[in-house]
Amino acid sequence: MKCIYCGTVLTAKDYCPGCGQDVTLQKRIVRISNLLYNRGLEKAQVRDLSGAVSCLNRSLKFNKENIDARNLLGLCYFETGEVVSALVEWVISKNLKPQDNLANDYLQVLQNNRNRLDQINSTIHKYNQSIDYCRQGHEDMALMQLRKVISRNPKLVKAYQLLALLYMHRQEWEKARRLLKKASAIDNTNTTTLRFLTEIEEETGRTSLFGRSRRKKEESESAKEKALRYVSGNQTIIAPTTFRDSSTIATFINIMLGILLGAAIVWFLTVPAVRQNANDRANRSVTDANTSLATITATVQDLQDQVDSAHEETAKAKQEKEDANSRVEGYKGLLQVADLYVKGDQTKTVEALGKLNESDYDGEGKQLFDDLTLMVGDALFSQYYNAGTTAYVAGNYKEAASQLQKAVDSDPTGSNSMYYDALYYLGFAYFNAGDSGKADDTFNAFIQRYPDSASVVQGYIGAKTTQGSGASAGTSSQGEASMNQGGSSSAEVAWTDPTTGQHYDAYGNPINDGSGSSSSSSSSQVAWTDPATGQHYDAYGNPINDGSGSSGSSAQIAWTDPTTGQGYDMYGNPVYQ
Amino acid sequence: MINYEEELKKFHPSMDVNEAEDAIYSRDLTDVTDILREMIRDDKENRKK
Repeated sequence: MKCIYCGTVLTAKDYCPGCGQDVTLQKRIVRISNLLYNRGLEKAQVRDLSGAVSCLNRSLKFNKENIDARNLLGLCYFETGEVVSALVEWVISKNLKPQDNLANDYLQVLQNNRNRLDQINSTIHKYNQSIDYCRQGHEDMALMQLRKVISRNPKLVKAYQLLALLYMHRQEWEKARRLLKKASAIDNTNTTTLRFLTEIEEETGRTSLFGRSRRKKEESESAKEKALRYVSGNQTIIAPTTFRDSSTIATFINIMLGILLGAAIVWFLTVPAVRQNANDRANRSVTDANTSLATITATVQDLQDQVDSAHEETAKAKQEKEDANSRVEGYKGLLQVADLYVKGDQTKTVEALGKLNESDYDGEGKQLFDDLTLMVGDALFSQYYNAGTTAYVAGNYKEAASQLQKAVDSDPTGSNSMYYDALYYLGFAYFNAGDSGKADDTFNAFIQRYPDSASVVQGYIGAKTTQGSGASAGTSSQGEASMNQGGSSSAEVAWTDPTTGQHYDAYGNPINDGSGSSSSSSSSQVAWTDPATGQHYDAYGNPINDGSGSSGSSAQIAWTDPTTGQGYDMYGNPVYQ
Repeated sequence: MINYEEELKKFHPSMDVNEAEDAIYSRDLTDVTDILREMIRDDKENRKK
């Protein structure tokens, strides 16, 4: 601040340091200007822009160099849409104080946004044009222009007021009210806005945002009603009076309550259904899994059964193979026997035949076995018989019983001449061996076959014996009755000494038949006949001199060739009749 | 009751950007200090006379 007298910069004192004049008044003027600026600032802070403009103008009237007041005045003009007025103030402020001035920044912002400035300028033109339309009576045109102005410059309060005036003139009170509410949001103490709102309240009976109500008594009664009646143009609008705009906090609370309510609905209604669906899906999955498991288990069981059956079949096949092999071996043995028989080796044939088991053959093999047995039967019988009697003489009754049993079995018909003795000694072999049951059976068979000799064994049937008692060769024992008994009128040659030609019975007793020759008596049994020479041999290979080298006209036909009809004896020698 | 015509008369056209220059030049920036200074000068002149 400078002295008005001399222009010297003043100090805190009440007189000028240059001219010494009293500057109290000057300082008071400045203080008043500042006071008005402060009031203007307070009003601007509460959006009382009209009041702020008034105070700031008065402040500048007192002190035109109050830069802060001028800048704030420009800001208030700009906020109310009076951009040019704001520019004027800022330009003046910049000229009064070029340096360190906020006006420079404001002007810089406007210059940088040239398009915005042009747009505002155009809105001002349209506003001015709409005033002319209104004065000319073209209210519709004015309405259109003013709507554009408001849309492009939403801070121009005068545009809101003029448009509200038009709506009020057309009695569209609610539209006017909404516009005036927007205008009051910008400048809440604008006189024109307040007057228009008051008029609307009087016309509609509805209070404004400020809560001012100038209802008459009869209108206050109607306001207590739930319905509000007012006329808008040609329409009578009935609106509820209980409607109230909610504040921001109430809106927020309502939104939160809505969210909570929605969440609760979702939780209690949809979540159980979702869970149920999930459970159902899980149960279905479990069921399917169980079904699959059962199917697989059944399949596994089937496969296991197949494996087991395959194993059984394999075992069976192995068994059959073994049986077949055994049968093959058996048949091999049979063929070997046949081969030996064909070759004429009676002894080996008998030995080999004795090793065979009749039950191993069937069909033609059985037939061949029977034929061979028949042909060498006597020799086989003699072999078993001699072995049995030898064992009997040695006291080995079990072995004797076994061999004698084979001898008996080899001659089912009992045609052999020694059958009587074999059966007889078989019974006593069982008897001496302690097998009384088989002994009795054998004795009974003996009696049945030879009833005339029943008395010989009758006494032993049912009798108990001590095993191994007696039966040594040559000594008297139970049932031994010596080999000399037995139904044959003559001693049976069991063995012939090849060197001396002496015959011996089964007990080793020499048989004095007056012949030491190797030739046996005419009662010696022919076991084998040499096909080449016709010589007969007994079971021990001893030649039998029966005066016939022929195959024996008395030879018995044991087998007949079914194809040729040729008869053969038991040794395979052809028999010519 | 608001008179539409009367109220309409109260609405004046706004200045556009082109009018800003003229508005600045025509602006009367006389404040109380200027009046006081003029009063003091007049007083001095009167005293000289």
